[in-house]
Amino acid sequence: MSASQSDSSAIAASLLDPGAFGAIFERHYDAVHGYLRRRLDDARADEIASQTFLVAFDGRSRFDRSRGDARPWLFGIATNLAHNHRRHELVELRAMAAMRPEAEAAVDGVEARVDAERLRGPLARALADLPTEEADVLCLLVWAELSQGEVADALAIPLGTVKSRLSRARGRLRDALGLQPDADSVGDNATSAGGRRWTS
Amino acid sequence: MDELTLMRSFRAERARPNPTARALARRALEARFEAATTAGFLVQDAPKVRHQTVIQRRRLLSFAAATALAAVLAGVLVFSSGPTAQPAAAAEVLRQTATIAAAESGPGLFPDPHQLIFRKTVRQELEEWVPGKYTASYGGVITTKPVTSYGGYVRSTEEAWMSTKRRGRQRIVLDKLSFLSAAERQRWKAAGAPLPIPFDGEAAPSPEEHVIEIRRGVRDVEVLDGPGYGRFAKLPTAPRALRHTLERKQAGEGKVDDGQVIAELWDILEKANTSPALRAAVFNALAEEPRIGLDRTAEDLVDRPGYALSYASDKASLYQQGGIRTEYIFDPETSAILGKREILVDPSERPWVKGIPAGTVLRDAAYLGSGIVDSIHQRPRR
Repeated sequence: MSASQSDSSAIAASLLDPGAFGAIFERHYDAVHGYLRRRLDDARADEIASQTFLVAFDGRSRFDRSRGDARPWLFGIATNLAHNHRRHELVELRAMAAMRPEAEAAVDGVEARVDAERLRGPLARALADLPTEEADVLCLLVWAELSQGEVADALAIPLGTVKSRLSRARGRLRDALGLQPDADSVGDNATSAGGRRWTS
Repeated sequence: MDELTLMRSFRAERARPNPTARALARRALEARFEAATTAGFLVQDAPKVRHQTVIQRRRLLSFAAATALAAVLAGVLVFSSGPTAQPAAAAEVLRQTATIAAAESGPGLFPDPHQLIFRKTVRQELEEWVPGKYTASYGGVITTKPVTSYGGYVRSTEEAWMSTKRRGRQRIVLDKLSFLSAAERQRWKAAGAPLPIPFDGEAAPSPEEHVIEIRRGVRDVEVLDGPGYGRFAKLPTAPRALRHTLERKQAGEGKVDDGQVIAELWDILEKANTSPALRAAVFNALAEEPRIGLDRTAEDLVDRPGYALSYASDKASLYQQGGIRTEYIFDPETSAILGKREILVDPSERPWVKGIPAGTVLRDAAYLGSGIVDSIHQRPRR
């Protein structure tokens, strides 16, 4: 299997040679698993990440091969599977919301770390209060690092719906966190800290 | 700081790779890979609706009916009467195909001594198997003692690495089992889903074979003595001379049967190393064959469109069983052969095949391609 082979080619090859699907796993497992770990507890995340690739493998003949990148497809499967555990996701978030504030990770600097620590609980509460469809859009955009167009592919919804759900979700978070609109330059078409552009 | 930046840092430490979870997931996926190539092959009932359509169409196109119908309805001219008569359309198509075959560049596939010819074929056969004992053509299991057997379509993919100078390889993978009825499928499942030989994963290789992989659904062996490929250098490339050569070869077997000659001509096309001149001679020789039919709307086993030559013998011979029509499918635009199919047309000729209606496909093969490779572990680039 060539390292430069596209996801689409690897999936096509796997129709005749199932082992070729291993390339898809190697490329994307960590990202899918990391995304799920941010949404669910460890055991459920491990289980659903594994299931995601099994479901993808079983349904690989239905993969739209005109799309070279399998990430939206895989994250879409993972998100759908995670829906079955939404109740546990909410329990986890609410438990975090009730915990004593503690910085989880460094961001931009001391001031930012203080903000993150202070806002961690309210953010968990706000995420728990988001409608599922809005949480999906937000989580796929931020944690899976998909573009808005890829989020639309992943959830099989129009791009306009992604934009409107994202706008509503961000508004709810800002309200819950007491932030001003567009407090920073991070937004629909801005560059994230990791360099990936959130564009459609 | 905005809400998205906050979210990005939220639970970020949890996104680190977890080697243990990854290894377990990989293992589960690999088990699924294996299932897909072995026990996970598709099991279903034979498709009845399409089958009926095919039966009806092929009944219409059975040799005598096709000839008469074509002559009456389409006004197709027949070149001449007597034993060499043939619908003009079929002969014309075959001669045009011969012209295309002759114009192909290159001498054909002639490997160097260290090289092999690779060929990939998909097959589907109606079979009857006694688990752990043997597999036979459907209706072929005849024993004095009652045995438990299962019947259905066995579809497989064969990859063959062939050489006349060195060891070759044959890898066959079970793709699908289709049962003639839901009851038969249930009976088979209730018995533990026993697979037919050679896909049961337990068949012992012969002393001439070296095992590469034998497991449920897969048999992959290094073949120490063959399969080889055709040796046709001495065959004439003039159509009549070619036919006479084949007839002389059969002389010891009694009267030459047309179906047998057609089958041998097709055998030459099936070999990967047939030269363009010889392939052209085969198509021209087929154009002279009496009692050959042509279906312009055929599809091979993998649904590729083509033309089908057909020949129905009313008596059994070495190559041609009674009550069966053989279709030879080819692409008239490239002269490539696509597949071969055997269809039951007269169940009364095969009374031991119980309950199988006329029109049932008994054997089907599609040739997916061939090429020259340097080792038994190499496949041609597409």
